[in-house]
Order: sequence, then C-alpha cells, then structure tokens
Amino acid sequence: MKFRKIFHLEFAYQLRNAATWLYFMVVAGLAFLWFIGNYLHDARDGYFLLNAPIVIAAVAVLCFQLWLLVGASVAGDAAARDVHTRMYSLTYTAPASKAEYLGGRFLAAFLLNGIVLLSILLGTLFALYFSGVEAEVLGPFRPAAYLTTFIYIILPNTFIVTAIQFSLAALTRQAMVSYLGGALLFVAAFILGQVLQDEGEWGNLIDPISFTPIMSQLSNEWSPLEKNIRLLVLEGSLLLNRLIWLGIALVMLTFTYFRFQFTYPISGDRKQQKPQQAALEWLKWRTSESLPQVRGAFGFSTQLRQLRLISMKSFLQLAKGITGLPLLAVLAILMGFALPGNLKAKGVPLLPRTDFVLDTLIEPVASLDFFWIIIALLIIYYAGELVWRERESGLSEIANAAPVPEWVLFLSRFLALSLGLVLWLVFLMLTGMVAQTVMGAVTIEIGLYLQVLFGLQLVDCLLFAMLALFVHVLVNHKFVGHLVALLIFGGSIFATNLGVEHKLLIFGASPGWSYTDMVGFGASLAPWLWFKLYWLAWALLLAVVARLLWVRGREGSLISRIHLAKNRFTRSTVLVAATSVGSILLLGSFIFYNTNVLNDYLSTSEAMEQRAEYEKRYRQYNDRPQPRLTRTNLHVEIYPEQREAEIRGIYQLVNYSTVAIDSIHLSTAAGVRTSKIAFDRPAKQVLADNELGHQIYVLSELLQPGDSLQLSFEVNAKARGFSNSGADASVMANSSNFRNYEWMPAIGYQDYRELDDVGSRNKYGLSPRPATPSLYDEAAHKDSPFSERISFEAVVGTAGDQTVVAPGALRRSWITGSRRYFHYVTDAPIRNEYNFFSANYAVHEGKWRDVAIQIYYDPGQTGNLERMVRSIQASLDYYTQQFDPYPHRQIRFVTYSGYSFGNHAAPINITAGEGFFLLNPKDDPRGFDLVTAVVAHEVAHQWWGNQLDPAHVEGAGLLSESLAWYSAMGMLEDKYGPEQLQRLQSFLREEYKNPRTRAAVPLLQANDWYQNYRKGPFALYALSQYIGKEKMNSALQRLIDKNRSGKSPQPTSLDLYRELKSVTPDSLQYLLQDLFEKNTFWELGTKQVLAKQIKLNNWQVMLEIQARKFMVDSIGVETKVPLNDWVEVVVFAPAKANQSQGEVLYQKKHLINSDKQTITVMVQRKPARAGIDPDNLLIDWELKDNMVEVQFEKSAH
Amino acid sequence: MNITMGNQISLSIRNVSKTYANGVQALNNINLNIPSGMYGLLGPNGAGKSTLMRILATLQEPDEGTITLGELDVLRQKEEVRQTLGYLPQEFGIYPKSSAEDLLDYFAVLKGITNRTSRKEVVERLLRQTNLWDMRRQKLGGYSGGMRQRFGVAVALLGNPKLLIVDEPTAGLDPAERVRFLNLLSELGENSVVILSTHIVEDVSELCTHMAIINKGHILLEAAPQQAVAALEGRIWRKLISKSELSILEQDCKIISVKLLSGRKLVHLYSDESPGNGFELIVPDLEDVYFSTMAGFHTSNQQVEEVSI
Repeated sequence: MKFRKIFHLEFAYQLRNAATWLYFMVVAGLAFLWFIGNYLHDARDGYFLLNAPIVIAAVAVLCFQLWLLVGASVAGDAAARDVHTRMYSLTYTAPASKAEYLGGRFLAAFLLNGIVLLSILLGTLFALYFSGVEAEVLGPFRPAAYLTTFIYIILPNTFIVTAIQFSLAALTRQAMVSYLGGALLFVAAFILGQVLQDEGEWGNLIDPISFTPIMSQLSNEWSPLEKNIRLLVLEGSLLLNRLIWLGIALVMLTFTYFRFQFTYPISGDRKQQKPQQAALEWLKWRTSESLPQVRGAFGFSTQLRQLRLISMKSFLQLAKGITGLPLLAVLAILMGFALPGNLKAKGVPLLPRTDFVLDTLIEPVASLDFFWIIIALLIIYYAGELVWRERESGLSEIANAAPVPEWVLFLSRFLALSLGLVLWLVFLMLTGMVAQTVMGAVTIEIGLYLQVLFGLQLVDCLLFAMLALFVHVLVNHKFVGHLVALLIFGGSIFATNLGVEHKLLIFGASPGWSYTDMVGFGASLAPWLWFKLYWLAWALLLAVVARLLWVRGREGSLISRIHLAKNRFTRSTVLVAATSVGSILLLGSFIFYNTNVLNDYLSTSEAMEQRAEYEKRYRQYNDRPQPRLTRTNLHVEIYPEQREAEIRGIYQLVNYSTVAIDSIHLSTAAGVRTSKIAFDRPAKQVLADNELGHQIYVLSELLQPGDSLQLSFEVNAKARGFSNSGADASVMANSSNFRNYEWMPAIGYQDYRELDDVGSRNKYGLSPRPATPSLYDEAAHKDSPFSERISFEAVVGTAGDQTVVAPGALRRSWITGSRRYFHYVTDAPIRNEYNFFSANYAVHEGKWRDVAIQIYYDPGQTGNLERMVRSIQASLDYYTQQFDPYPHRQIRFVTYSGYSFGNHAAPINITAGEGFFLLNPKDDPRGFDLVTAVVAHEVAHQWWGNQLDPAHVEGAGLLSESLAWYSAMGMLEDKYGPEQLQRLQSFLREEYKNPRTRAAVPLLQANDWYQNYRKGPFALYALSQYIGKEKMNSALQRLIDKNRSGKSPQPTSLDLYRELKSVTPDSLQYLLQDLFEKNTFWELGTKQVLAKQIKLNNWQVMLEIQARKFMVDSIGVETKVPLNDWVEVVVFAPAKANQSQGEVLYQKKHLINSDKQTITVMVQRKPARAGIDPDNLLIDWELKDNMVEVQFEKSAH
Repeated sequence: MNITMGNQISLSIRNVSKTYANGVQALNNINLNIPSGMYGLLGPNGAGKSTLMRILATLQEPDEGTITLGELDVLRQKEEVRQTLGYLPQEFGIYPKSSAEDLLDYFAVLKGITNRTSRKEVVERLLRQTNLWDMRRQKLGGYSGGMRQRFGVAVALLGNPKLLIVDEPTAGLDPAERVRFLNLLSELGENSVVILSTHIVEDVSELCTHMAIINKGHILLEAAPQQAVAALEGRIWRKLISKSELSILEQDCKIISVKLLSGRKLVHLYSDESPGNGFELIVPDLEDVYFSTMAGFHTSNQQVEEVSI
C-alpha cells in the first residue's frame, strides 16, 4: 500500500512535469530525424530497406545515446528531490521502509523513462508510415522488428540506465549526479565501444546500451541480405551484454538499498560543523549609536569592483569543484597522452611541430571531436551552475536586493565562465608544449600557440559560452535549459544535415581557419574573422537580452520578465543594443555581399538541382560526335597578391569521328568568367547557358572527318571576397594551385557533372543508373573525362619572387618588369588533366638516365627529399624495365599548401601536400618507409592511369590503383629487399582492413577502396607468385602497349583480364577466375604439425591440413565450392637470433582438396614452423592459423 | 553621527494589487502610509505579508499601484531603492562553505562599500553587533538557525539602510535575542523606515509606532497600537468557561479568542455592552485588537477614522 502510494505520487508528479514530456517530444523527434534525415538517403541508395529490423534497432540506440545526455533528471529527481526541496524531514521520518521508499521511487522513474523512450518507436512509426516515405524503400510491416527492438534494446537499456542514474543520485543525494552517470554511460557506449570495437568482444560487452554492436552490424558486419531481413536475436554477445549490464544495474540497486539511509543529509565536511558554544552566550546587542554609519558609494567604479568580485567568486566556486579545474586538467593530460598517437598520418609519425600539435589539439567547439564534445557539454553545465547556484543555495533571496545592476550580475557569470575557458586553453598550451618537448621538438612556437589558442579558439569558446548562458537565463529551468542548449549544440553540428547551410544562420559558425608552414593562415583568416565579428555582435545582443531578462526575485515567467525588461531599458542599454543590432546588420550585409553577391551561393540541394538540370537539358548531346582536343596553347598570368589569374588559350580540335560535325558544344566552368570564345572559321553561337555552363556554336561549314579547327578563349578567375565555405585557395599570395578543368572550357557534354547516387537521382527526377557505369556497359567504354591526349604548351607569368610549375619541359624563364615568366612545352602527349603551381619554391634535383627529377618544395621542408629522389630513380628504373619506357624527360613532385596527405599523379607533375614532406618515417616503429612506398605508387601512376587511362566504369580502380600498388610492391622487393615488401604489405593490410561482410562484387568490377587498394594489389601479387613475375609483367606490358594512345574505346579490367588469361597456364586458370571473376574465399589452416627424426639429417614432417573454399555473391549468399587447388606448403628451420623467420627447408605447391588431409614431407634439418600458404596469397581472412609450431614425436631410434 | 531631519523619509503605498498566476490574490488594493520609525505589519500566515515585503524589496512586481520612498519610485527606480535598502527575507540560504566574515565582506562590496578600510571596520562592527565575531572564521554551513538569522541581520544592516524590511525576523530567535533584536530595530527606526512583518502580536505591541493588520490581501486596520487599543476600551469581556458552554456562546456572541487555561477555556468577546453571564470587562491589549480585527468586528469606518488621526 505504501509502496503503491509512493510510486503513484512520484509517477503522477513527474508525469505532470513539462520536462518529462519535453524529453518525450525530443526523443520522438530525434527518431524521426534519424530516419528522414539520415537513413532515408541510404535506403534510397539501395543499401537497405528503411524499415529493416536492424535500422529500427540502430535508430533506437542512436536516440538512446543522445537521451543519455539529456534525460537523467527523471531518475535523478525521483532519487534526490526530497533533499533538494528539503522535504526529507517529512518523508524520511514517515513510517515507510527503505524498500518501499526506494522501490516506489525507482519503479516510477523506470516507468517514466520507459514512457519517454517508447517515443522512439512512436517517432519510428511516424517517420515510416506517416511522413510520405515512398513504398519502394519499405519492406513488409513486421511487428517482430519493433518488438525485438523494444524487448531486447529499449526495455533493458531503460532499466540499466535508470538503475545506474537512480543509484548515483540516491547515494549522493544530488540529482545532478545522475547526469554525470548518463555522461559516463555515454562515454562507455560511444567512446570506449568505438575504440574497442576492433578488440573483439570487449567493445560489445563494455557498451551499456549495445550501441556499438548494432551500429557495426548496420554499417557493414551484416551482408545486405541480412540487413533487410534478419531480426535481432538474443544470443551470443548481445545476450551476454544484456546479462552483464542487467547484473551491474541490479548490483547498483542492491548496493544503494543497503547504503542508503534515512538521515539528515549533511553538506560540507563534518569536522568543521560543530557550532561553538559561544553561540548560546548572552547576546550583546548594542544600540544603533554603535552601528557603523558607513554608506555605500555608487557609481561606475563601484560596479566594476562588484563585477570583479562576483566574477571571481563565481569562478572560484566553479573551479574548486571536482568538475571544475581538476576535471579540465585531467582532460588536458588525457589529450597530452593521446597526442603522440594522433600525431601520425597513416601510422607514420609526424614531426612534432607546433602547427601539427595545434592541429591535433584544436577543433571547433561545435564539432564531433571527443574532447571538444566534452568541453561543449561542460560549458553548458558550467553555464547552468553559474546561473543557478545562487538561487539553489537560497542566497539570492538576500543578494537580489543588493544594489548591483543586472548587467554586472550577468556579465560576472560570463567572465567567470570565460576565465575557466582561458585556463582550459592554458592547460592545452602546456599539454602541447610538454608533449612537443617529450617528442623532441626543436622549436616550440609560443607565438603561434598564443595566436591560435587565445586569438582564434578562445573566440569560438566564448561565443558558445555566451550562447549557453543566454539559454539558461532565457529558459529559466535548469534541466530544460541544459536540454535546449544541448539541442542547439547538436543542431549547429548537424545544421547542414538539417538543411541549414548558410553560416550566417548557424550561431557561431564560420569557415574554418587553417595554418600551414607554407602560407601561414593564408586567405583563411579573413573570412573567419568577418564571420566571428558578426557572431560577436550577436553575442553582444544576446548579452543585452540576457541582462534585460535576468531573473531577479520571484518573477520567473517570461511574460512578467518581458514586462520588467521595459523598466530595465536605460540609455546605455539602448545604445549597446543599437550598436549590436547595427553591427549585426552591417557585418551580416558585408558577409552576405561576399557570399551571395560576389560569389554564387548554392545550397547543397540547389547545387544538386543544377547538376540534375544540366543532365536533363544536355545529356542528349552526350553521344553527338565532337572534335577532340589535341593541342593546348596557353598564356597564363597569375597575380598572387590580387588572387587573380587570367588565361588566354587556343585549343586545336580534330574531328576523329567518321561523320562531319556541324556544331561545337562547349562546357564552361562555374565561378570564372569565360569570354572571347572564337573559332578560326565562321561560327554562330546558338545557345549561351552561362548558369549551367553549356554553349553551342553552329559552324557555317561542316567540319569534315580528319579536319581540324582552332578554338580560342579567355578566362578570368578572380577570387572575390569569400564564400560561405571560406576563401578560395586556388590563387593565394604565397601559394597557387589550380587544375585545368576547374576553370578552362571543355569540349562536349561533361558526364562527370551528373549526379551519381541513386537517391538523389531519384529525388531530382533523373532516370536510374548505377553510380559507376557497369563494366559491361559498352557505351561507357567509349570516353571518359580528361582522357584526350594533348600536346601542351604554356607561357605562365607570376610574381617576381615565385616559380611556376606546369607540365612539360621548362624551355625558358625570364623576367619582365616585376614579373617572372616560364615557358613550358611537353615532349610527349599527356592526359588532359594537369595543374599549375606558383609559389616561392626551392628545388631539389636528381637525375635518372636522361630524365630530370625535380622536387619543388617549401624551403625548410627538406627531411624527405633524398628519400624521394631515390625512390623515383628506383621506380623509373624498375617500371621502365618491367613495363615500358617513361615517356617524358622530366618527373616532378610539387608541393602545395595544406596538411592533407593525398597525393595526385597528374602527368609529369605529381602533387603532394606539405604534410607529405613533414612525415617522419625514420621514427616509424614499424620500420616501414611510407614515403618511399608512396612515391613508388605515385610514379607507377605515370604508367597506370596516365598512359593506361581506364574507362570510367567498374574495375577502373583495378587498372590504376591496384596496378600502381602491385608495381610498387615489385619495385620495393627488387630495389629495397623483401623486408620492405613485407612491411608494405602489412601496412596495406592495416590501412585497408577487411570489410565486415564478405558480400562483394568480383574484383573485375572493383568499386570500393578495399578492392582498389587492398584486394586488387594482393590478388595481382598472388597471381604473379603463381605464374611468375616475368609472365605477369609481360602481360601488363602488352596491356599498356595496346592502350597507350588514349584512343577510344578505353581499356577496362576486362582488357587486363584478357592479357592475364593469355599468360596463365591452363592448370592455374581456375585461380585467375577465383581471384578476379568471382568473389572467392579460402579457409586454410594447419591444425598441427608433427615431426620426427628418421635418421641423421632426415626429418619426417607431417602437416595436418584443413581447407575449404566458398564463394559469396554481392548480397551475401554463400556457396561452397569443391577445393582442388595448388597451395604452397612450407617448412622453416628455427630462426636464428635477429631473424624473424628461419631458413626455408621445404617449399612446394601441393594440390589441396576440401577434406582434412595429412601431407608428409621430408626435410634435411630440424624443422621449427610449418604450414600452408605462408605469404597469404589466397584470400583467407583468418591469417594466423596458416602456420604453426612443429611438435616432435619421439624419434624412431 | 547626527542624522538630520531631512533624512526623515516615508514610504507611501498606493493601490497596490497582486494576483499570482494560479489565481491567488495576494494583495488587493493596498494603501499604506509608512512614516519613519518602526512599522509593524501583522497578519496570519498567507495573508500577503511576504508578497508585500518582496514588492517593497524590489523583488516582485505588483500588477498595479505605485510605491514611493521619499522621492523615489520604488517600482521604477529599483537600483536607487536598493542602494538604501536593507532586506532580511523570511527564508534565505547561504554558501555553506564560506565563512561569515568572507560572505559579509562580499555583501559589503555588493552594497557599495568598496573602500577596504571602511569595509573592514563595517564588517567587524556588524559581526560584533550580531555577536558573530567569535565565529567569524567558521563555515556558515555549521551555523545554527539563530546564528544564520543574525548573519542575515548583519547583511541587512550593511550600508546604513534608510529602508529596512524585515520579514518574520524573530521566528528563529530565542526570546532574549528577540527582545534585543527588536530594540535594535526600533532604535534604527529613529531615522529610517523599518517595516517588520510578523504574526506575533508582541513584536508589534512592544515597539512599533505604527502598524497595519493584513489578511487575505486586504488591510483590515491601519493604526498606532496605543490608539487602536484605546479604541477597544470597554468593549472586550472575558470569562472562563467549560467546553460545553462554548458552543452555546458561539451562537450568540462575538467571540474574538479562545484560550486554554488549566483545562478550561478563557473566552474574550467583543461587545459594546456587558454580555452579563459572569463576563468581566478587561483592559484590552493589542492581541484583542488583532483578534477582533481578524474576526471582522473592527469596520473599515473605524480604519478611516484612525488613519485620519
């Protein structure tokens, strides 16, 4: 009875609470948004059905994840409200047992949370069936999908989380601690789970809400087939996880039951509590004559004094707590420990430079970085404390009547929070400096630290702090304030997904700044600054509003506060408000002028619409014969300081088709002004679509097959102000880098501008087609973007202190006035895709035969130059010998500003970001030289990609990326030794991990990173090991020979396959098919190896082998196939000291079948390790069981 | 230090009403003139005293009406009012981890006493005054209710306020403390407006020069205590009766109070003539004024009469 009453009172009380229903609405809204904003897109792309059980479960855990951060007040209030409201003196003394009291409260909290979280399913149903989602992406309605999600996920999660939050709040008697509990569970689920997800079961078990396992099943663990139909089943690690966490929850509740006491909650430390007896002494009230007659002095200086005092007091209260400075210090130390691990690119250590360290430490406050999320959450929490502490302690009853103006009250809170953030940044700075010192940095740029931390990052922090304070003042309800602030925070992170893209509309948003050695902050700082100034003006306005609405006394409702605010208007308020509104308007207009007038502002959907429109209007001309570009002649003027470039060009076009051509279709680039288009024969423009960039000229005289014509044009590209995404980095004062097709006109319809993904094609009413054309789509073999072979000549001018790099040989360079000119000419045709660079370069030169090797680098970034030259030389040597001569007389690596690590191999000139030059492979603990390997890979693209230019269809990556890595493997083995080959292979295995599902298309249709960069190179390598490298490379040589011209149709993986087939012996044709034509897996294992000595120098080794082979199709259906394959069997001698592998005693390919089998071989020395397929040539995802240690039987004699 | 007559200010409350969002009318057209000196606001719990006190202390807004303190418009010139205001609320909290000295020093700055030397002196004198000096270094979390209350008094007295509002101040004080505290207040009242709200009649009868009785948002009586008592002269009768007699008496007479006295009941009733029946005429005290006012035997006519005195 008592239990029921306690339960009922709590339940009814919170059910009437607006916060409960707010959580309900928010969670339901989140579920809805996850479906509509996120998964609908994937479903339209055909990854899964939108109402597949695993998608429903995934949305449930995603919503749960966010609820962890916001919804803790239900459990916290139920457990600790009596203490907060000082009701405990009544409830604790009431004759209810602990079990009744705690049990009733807990049950109520559990049920309330259950109701709140049931809204996940409500939001789900609404999203799926009442929001107009098209029926094609939905499967049949299956109640089991909802029931399993509810029973296996939502219900136990609710219990676990409520129990933990309730226990923490009950034990500490503070509702706020339940939030801490929620945050800890969030960390366990989101961070630890993600970090440990590759450590097998650990990641799944440590996750209290099963977030990790469900998300990874959805992302790629399950095959497409499974995703659509498989229901969650309570078994394996899911079952274990549920049991473990339910156990933990029950233990917590039991502990709480025993630990909890109905006693007076004592605050502060007990030792100092005893009031002295003096308190009871006879009072010595004196008469008022003795009262001090000092009166306060009031004025601005007093207000400043009060501001200082309240700021310090608020700050100290915040800072002293465990969640104050100690927590910030711990965070900073954690970041310090994480730093060396993060200061890497592809596993290679970076030099411990200040800018790298800062880059690793700093993220915008509104970002998804682990540490900065914590900081953002802390800012929200601190803001709540600052606004509420005085009121919660009751001191406000006195303090509010003190003659302190509201602006002091509000601003002091802001200053306290700011001071906390400044100290946080100081901690970060110390962390960075200590880490740099430990990592052996030569110079620590304190100036840069100060600029970045206290010039840039602090502004970001302060803007968010102001927002959080403003929200708390405005909402005037602590928990709801937290929730609203969190929603705004989430909203600004995901603003783009929610369709809000313009940074003028997202509080605190701005284009990012970047800092690199080469250009400093470059052009990135100005737009950042303008946007931040704009937001600072907003922050000022928020501060004014917060001051006007500051709660003082009993008037808490918004209406009465607005009423009060009228009286709070003073002349200075009006002045400040007017200043901020004026600044907002002024700065906003200036930014708008830059983003939308000087630059074209297109939202993502507008840009997509434009691309769709382009396809709709001009796709019809795709197959129309057009003359082909054969020669490009350019005069380029680069004006780095003005961020402007002018190009005058002449294209030589030839009609290679068999019909006469009557009109020329020209596609012009967006963002530049193309003018003075003219032909060397009469032509008339009949269409000028500048918006979509398509022009049509009708020739008055037909262009006969074989005839040529000249096209001349001018392009002016000037960076005008900045756009919503920042300043254009193509031409900057210190570094310029642009590509031909970004600015210059191209001939014909450009199909690379089309929308590719299924969902958006559908949305914009385009006919469905695969994202990448099918390998078997003959029409797609005909042409691909930039595949023309051109001879190229250009005169490029730039500022007097800069050097220009363009394709071809530098014929001449001269100075006219203050400008330098460079004349480049190619000596062999190149693909029509190239860059222009201009910067203050230093050049490192080398030579290989008659090929000049040049590395254009930023002076000072010299660490990897020798290494690069050596690799280029070795690569040219090896590839020339194995495949085909290098067609040009120069090869260059050219740096451009930026710390991204992507390289691009255009003909002759290979681009490499600054970061590449700042890698520190010497210190790589793996002993792997990534720089050498990547250079080998990029140089190989001069063959695979630039000479052999694949058609834009499935399998293109096999011809470019896979062959480039295969070539680099051969080069490293040949020139640097087998050790380096092995390190490269293990690097590739590490970098491109096996996908979670085996479902895939065959390698010939390779279309993802794993296939292009991992499976492809390893399959090619395996084949070369089986058929011999010479045969293999001769086939590749023929492939390049037949396709070097760049003529249509372009080569595909089928051409490669044909060549490989012709060199593969009949006995191994099966292997070729298994590797390339089918998606085949082997499972090879050596169960055990027994050896006995027969006689001196004669050992019998018996290998017990287990093997099977199976095929998996693209949706995940497995088919077992009989195995009768050649697999290498190997026996090693014991390894000598300082060797990893002993001498090979036996190595031969055996025919292995599907049964368990024993292979017996004889060796002449004592064996140590043995097994099959030691180099993992066959595609077997379990690598470790191939080789085992040899066990010895008692010898025969 | 001498206080000149120019400092004799008064507080005027005109037509003040306040209705809460839940429909409770806390104040209904309140009109009061409060001169310098100690003014008692007497009324039962929930009468609207605290609401009125908070409004006077600038912490709440009336729906209508005007309040002026000397030249100041209390509702609009809040900042100026606060500069001369001392406020001791009925309930308040403290930072349990601060010491009395630190927190009082903090409030001294908030009250505009920025000069370090004079602040030090003020803090010391107030702590001595409230007898907290010996415990000034102790954490406030360890203070008893009375000590806390005295701390509140010290804060309220900071800055020599011209308007001192004390809301149920004697609740937490023991009898001796109460007397001395009230004495202090009355001395302050010599040149300030001191408003004391209470539900204890003695608080008012002993010290206040003026008083008002408030109930359910209405001012029932505004008078000087002695005059109010004098007005009742010859109208209050007393008798000791048994329990059974009470119900009969209740039907016929204007009973204003019933007290238990050694197992029997001591009844006071209001009557212009002798009710006979063994009732004896007594000299009324302020309690009788309070109860007869609360019982509705004082009419508003009398109120107007008495205001005009």
